[in-house]
Amino acid sequence: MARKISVEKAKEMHEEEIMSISGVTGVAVGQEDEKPCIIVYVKEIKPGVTKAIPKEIEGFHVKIEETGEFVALGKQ
Amino acid sequence: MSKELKVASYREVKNPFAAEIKNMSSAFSKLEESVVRLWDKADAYAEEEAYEAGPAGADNIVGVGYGRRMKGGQPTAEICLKAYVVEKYPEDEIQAEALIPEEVNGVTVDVEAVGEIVALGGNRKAQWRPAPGGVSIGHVKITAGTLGCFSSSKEPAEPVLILSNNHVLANGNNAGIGDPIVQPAPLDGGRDPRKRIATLFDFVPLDFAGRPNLVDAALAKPTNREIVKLCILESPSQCSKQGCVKVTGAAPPVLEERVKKSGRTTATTCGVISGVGATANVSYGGGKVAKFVNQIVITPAGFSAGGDSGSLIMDMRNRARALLFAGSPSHTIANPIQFVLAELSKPPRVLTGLQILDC
Repeated sequence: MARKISVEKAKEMHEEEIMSISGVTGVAVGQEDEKPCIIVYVKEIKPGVTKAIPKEIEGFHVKIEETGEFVALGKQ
Repeated sequence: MSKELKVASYREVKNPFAAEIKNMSSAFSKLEESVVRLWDKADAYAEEEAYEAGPAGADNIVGVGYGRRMKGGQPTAEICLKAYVVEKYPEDEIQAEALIPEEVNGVTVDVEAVGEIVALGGNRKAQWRPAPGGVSIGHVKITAGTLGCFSSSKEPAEPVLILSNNHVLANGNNAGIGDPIVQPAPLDGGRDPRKRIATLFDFVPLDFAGRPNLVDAALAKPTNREIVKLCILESPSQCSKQGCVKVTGAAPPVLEERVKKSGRTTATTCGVISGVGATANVSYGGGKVAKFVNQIVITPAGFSAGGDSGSLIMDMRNRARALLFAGSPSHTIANPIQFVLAELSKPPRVLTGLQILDC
């Protein structure tokens, strides 16, 4: 079944609410099993954070990746 | 006829040079120890006082050894200790503690200028003249970053400009146009003016107030055309060989594409663009956080580390795809190259028509 909107659009529409979840470091468009998905980056994978993230957004699968904190990569 | 089996007989020969050799070897150890101590001290100093300019110091000494004493460029019969330096300086331009003794244990120490021998070994934290992409560079007040690549502009016509991050060349907005840029970076021993390679030309200011950023980018103008080498240094890896590769244009990054980068800290590494259109909050230290949008994310872990900021990310055909600027232990974030070029060459920036040099 054809989707109504693109994965980019789906990410854009829900970006603000996802970024406002405590522990989320970023959100992007990616692929899983050769299908477009939405990636949500979290500082640490723990139930408090992952429970707040939807499993699907506008019909697109949501993949959660643990990243730690993103820092500018000048030598610390 | 039987042959008599001859057994070699040994007798101890007293080496007439034994004492001399012993003395030479002890003198060598002493010299070596003192130079290593000097290097260790200089490393500690560089961590604390990264941007102090000063006379020639430990970073000018590249090695010790022994060999024939040179006179007027010709070897003599005298065997002596050797101290190899990048460049010879008058005594009053050398830090007192970095002065090489005239003799150790009565053995003469011959100071020989050899240039950058470490550089040939591929040490990206060393001084490189001419300097290619992928080596240590930085504004005089930062710690260390990477020289990304080279670009040129139409108006004003600048044939060669160094491209890297704002937080590498412009100290995260805390810099003025014309500020000195050193290679290697201050953390790697670069001091102004002796290691100056360029001056800050322009930068896209970073916003730490919540507005979205597209790029962390800046340009520096080399002090002269001969001081840079228009290629990207590569070390052997799964996706590269030893050498200095030419960049062949630029193209927007694409999801699932294989890429590589060349950086000061982790040299050449290979990865995949696993996320695009990424929004992420990036910490710049001191509580400053910048929001970035439309970024790409590269995995796996180990693709980059602190000091790799400013590295150019290329595809397997050596086309520029993105400018590395941030990351975590597991993920790397980079600005798509089309945004880098666009943001640096539209008002209020000073130049137009910026492009990656096919070099």
